[in-house]
Amino acid sequence: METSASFSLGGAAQIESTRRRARPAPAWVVAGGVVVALLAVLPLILLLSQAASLGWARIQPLLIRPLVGELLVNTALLTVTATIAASVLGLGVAWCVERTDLPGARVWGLIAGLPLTVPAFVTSYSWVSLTPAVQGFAGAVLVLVLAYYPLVYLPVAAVLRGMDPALEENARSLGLSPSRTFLRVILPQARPALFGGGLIVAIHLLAEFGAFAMLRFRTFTTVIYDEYRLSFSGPAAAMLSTVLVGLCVALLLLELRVRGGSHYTRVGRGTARPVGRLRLGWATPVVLLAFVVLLSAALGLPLGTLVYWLTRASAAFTAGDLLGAVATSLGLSAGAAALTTVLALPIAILAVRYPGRLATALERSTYLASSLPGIAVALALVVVAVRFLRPFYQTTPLLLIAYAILFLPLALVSARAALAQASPAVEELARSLGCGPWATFRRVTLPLIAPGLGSGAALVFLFAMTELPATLLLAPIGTQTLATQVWSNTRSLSYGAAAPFAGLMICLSILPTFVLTRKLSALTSSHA
Amino acid sequence: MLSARARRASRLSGILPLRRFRRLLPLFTAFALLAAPSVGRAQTPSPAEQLAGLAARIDSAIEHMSSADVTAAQTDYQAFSDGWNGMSDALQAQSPNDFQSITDEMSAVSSALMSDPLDSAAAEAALQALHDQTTAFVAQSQPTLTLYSAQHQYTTRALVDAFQQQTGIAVRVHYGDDFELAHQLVEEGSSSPADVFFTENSPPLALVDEQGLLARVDPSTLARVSANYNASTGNWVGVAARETVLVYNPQVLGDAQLPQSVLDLGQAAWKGKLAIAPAEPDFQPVVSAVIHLRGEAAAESWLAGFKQNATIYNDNEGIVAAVENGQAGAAIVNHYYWFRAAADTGGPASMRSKLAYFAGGDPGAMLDVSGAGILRSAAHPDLARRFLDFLVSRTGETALVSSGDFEYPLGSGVAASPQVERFDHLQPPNLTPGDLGNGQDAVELLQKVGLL
Repeated sequence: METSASFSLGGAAQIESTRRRARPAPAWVVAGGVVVALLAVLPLILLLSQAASLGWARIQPLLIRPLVGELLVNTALLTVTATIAASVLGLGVAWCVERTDLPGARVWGLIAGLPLTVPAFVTSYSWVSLTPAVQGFAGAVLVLVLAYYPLVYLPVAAVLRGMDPALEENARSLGLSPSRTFLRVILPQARPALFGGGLIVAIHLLAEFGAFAMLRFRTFTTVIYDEYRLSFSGPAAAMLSTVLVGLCVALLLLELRVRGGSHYTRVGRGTARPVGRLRLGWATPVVLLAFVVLLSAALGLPLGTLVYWLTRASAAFTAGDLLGAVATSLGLSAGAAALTTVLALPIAILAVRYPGRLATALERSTYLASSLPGIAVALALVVVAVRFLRPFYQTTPLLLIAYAILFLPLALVSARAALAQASPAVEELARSLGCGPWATFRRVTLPLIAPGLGSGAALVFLFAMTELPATLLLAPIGTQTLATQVWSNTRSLSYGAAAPFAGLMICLSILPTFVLTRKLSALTSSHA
Repeated sequence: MLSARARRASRLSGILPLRRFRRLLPLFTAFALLAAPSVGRAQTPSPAEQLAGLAARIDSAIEHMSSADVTAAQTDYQAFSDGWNGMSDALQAQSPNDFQSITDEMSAVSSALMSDPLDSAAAEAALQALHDQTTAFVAQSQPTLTLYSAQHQYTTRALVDAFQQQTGIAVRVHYGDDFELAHQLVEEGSSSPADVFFTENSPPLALVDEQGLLARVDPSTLARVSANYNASTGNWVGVAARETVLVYNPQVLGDAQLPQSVLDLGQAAWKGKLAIAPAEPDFQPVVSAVIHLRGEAAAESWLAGFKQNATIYNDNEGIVAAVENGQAGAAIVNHYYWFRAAADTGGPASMRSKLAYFAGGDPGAMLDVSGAGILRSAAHPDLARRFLDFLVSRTGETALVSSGDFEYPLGSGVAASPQVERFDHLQPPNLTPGDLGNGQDAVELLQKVGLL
């Protein structure tokens, strides 16, 4: 550990990837990874076969029509714009919180993650009820950036917090200005977190439905929903879904390309000590004002709307409904978080410790299902379950698997980041001292990556809490979650009746978000 | 930089799992074969379930008795009695005491219905006692019906509660949207857990029916509803209807003439004044009606004009709100969205927007029918038949109206909420749900003009 400081001098922490070919990946990791990846692409395979069964003569008019072109432009433009904007905003917020003398930076840091607790459709609803001007492209970008920027902010902030201050200090002492230090030292270090977060944002934008529906912005996903909602046009929907998958593949390749092959692990962890913060000086009130505006827009407005709904809560709901939905939501989300984290592990281990074609293929394939509309994934799972797993159909285990398929990337990104920061040298040392592979994993690796796994689990928990299409179709009959109650009430215009459920959904999400911010900091600073 | 190997690997990412999946297919198949036997169902319903289905005739007899239709009540009771003779042996073997008490009540009913002069109060009381006795017996065995409902949750709940109170049958409900559930039912096929499918619109029922998944509805149940609201196949029954109306904002439209026909809205005079939610299942029937009544070419040019004139919204709630707050001048919508919005703001009088009804069988006055059907694969066919009969019975339709739903009940002559226009004043086009079919022609046209 003592050597680490000298190693990281001069920004040498960027180590070109050296593939470890010394040992092949253990069989259980490969087997686990293959099974998980298969599970994740299962809905996709079904959709593709459904689309392919049509034959080109019928595919052509479905695929080549004005609407598809329009949607392609809409979806691509929105995904690119909103992802870049969310990344810039997330990075900016993280930098202000972690690297400046912003008054109350710690508190801002905690609050800035909270917009993640508000489902995007609630944010959009509040904006639309405030002003119809947000409907359309610009509004959609605005609202979705506000809803999703924490997905970039949280990991980037964690990286900044965990960075060895020596890097920046050396850069400054060697004559780099603060802005050039940011560009040449901080930005490269934050790059994996930035791109990882950006990728998650982009994939969620591809699959987002509720928000775009409210904002009257048509993307592939909203139109796929329309196809399912209006008619028995399974093939048409499957066709559009394959285009969406194509977009997702393009995104994944793009991310692979810009991320590059560089690794950012340090041999040691450097020293954890407070970093010198930039004095904002005259800019302090401006930055403060920006934070107030941002958080009122992203958090204050939706919460205000909920309070307004609550005051009009005319429709009857019973405490029993409320408590039942809370218990079900908590149980399902916790189950989803646990299962998804476990499933993400073998793939993360493969990707980080045994990189190669198989690892890349398996890891990337888990993203595809997340870019599909929830309804398409859910219906595909109905087919699988009814044909092959009839006894499990509409049972909790199958619903949890559906959640895992939808949210695997969330757990995977965190698990990967955590593994990448845990030095394999420590594991090798344990092995050389006679520890078996399982014991090494349990006693060395797991404690090192636990905080990272925890943050991934917290993210999955958050998203499972608001998941709707898979829950509606696959939950055991009679199951009511907070999300299905909100859906059911808003569908019949009873926003007053929806408010308590939506409010509880947000309250229950606050805890994991705090865990998320705390765990991320623990991940990067606890074991110096 | 990305290494050549990594780039190749990323190209492979789509193909590799596919190949693996193929290898695993035999495994899946084996599992499917193993799982298949567990799907088998009990073939003969229990006596309690048979009786639960049969008891619909007693309910009907009570309703007829209270409206002094003695002959109909006698016919109903006779049907019950015949059914009872077909199943009572099994019941007697299983539960002699219950058999005895039900037989006792039956002889009381018989003598009350046969007495001359007939004391209708006494007959009704005897029928009620028989009803209570059968319900108590049915409730003992705790039968549960599985319902897939696309109707609003508060409506469904009100109906299900009233049903359980009336019959002793519990209902577990799986909620979803019309076509979402229709898709699910088609994918589930014969292994669906559903007994009954209850929708907001007829096309999803027609779709499930086309796939051969629905069973015949009892003629006595169908007879409670005017035939033009039921499936022509007799495989589902209409429960409630909604009228398509023009909601308009007088302040925005000024002195402009209200349209005589929904087809006027395709004319250039309406540019910038309309709101439309083409993806809502309520809009398709209007399009189908135009296609049927005016031909496909006229429908297409009308829709193209409509698209030019209108701002597209995602849902009916959105367009009602848009007209109410003056963003749009007028919109085509089902009447009950406006009444629900009104109920939220303090009644119809407090609304700035108004309703206009198209007359003379204009396609704009299309009625949308909410209905229910029994799955052919239902594990509880008797309970399902009872539920359907209940939905269109006087008790069921009254529960629907008093749940705060503004739909027009279709069964047993029950009147809608007093706030809405009288049902017999409506002048919908002369089209049946069968003419509408599964709505595919409308969807294709909407796709063609780019509204979908």
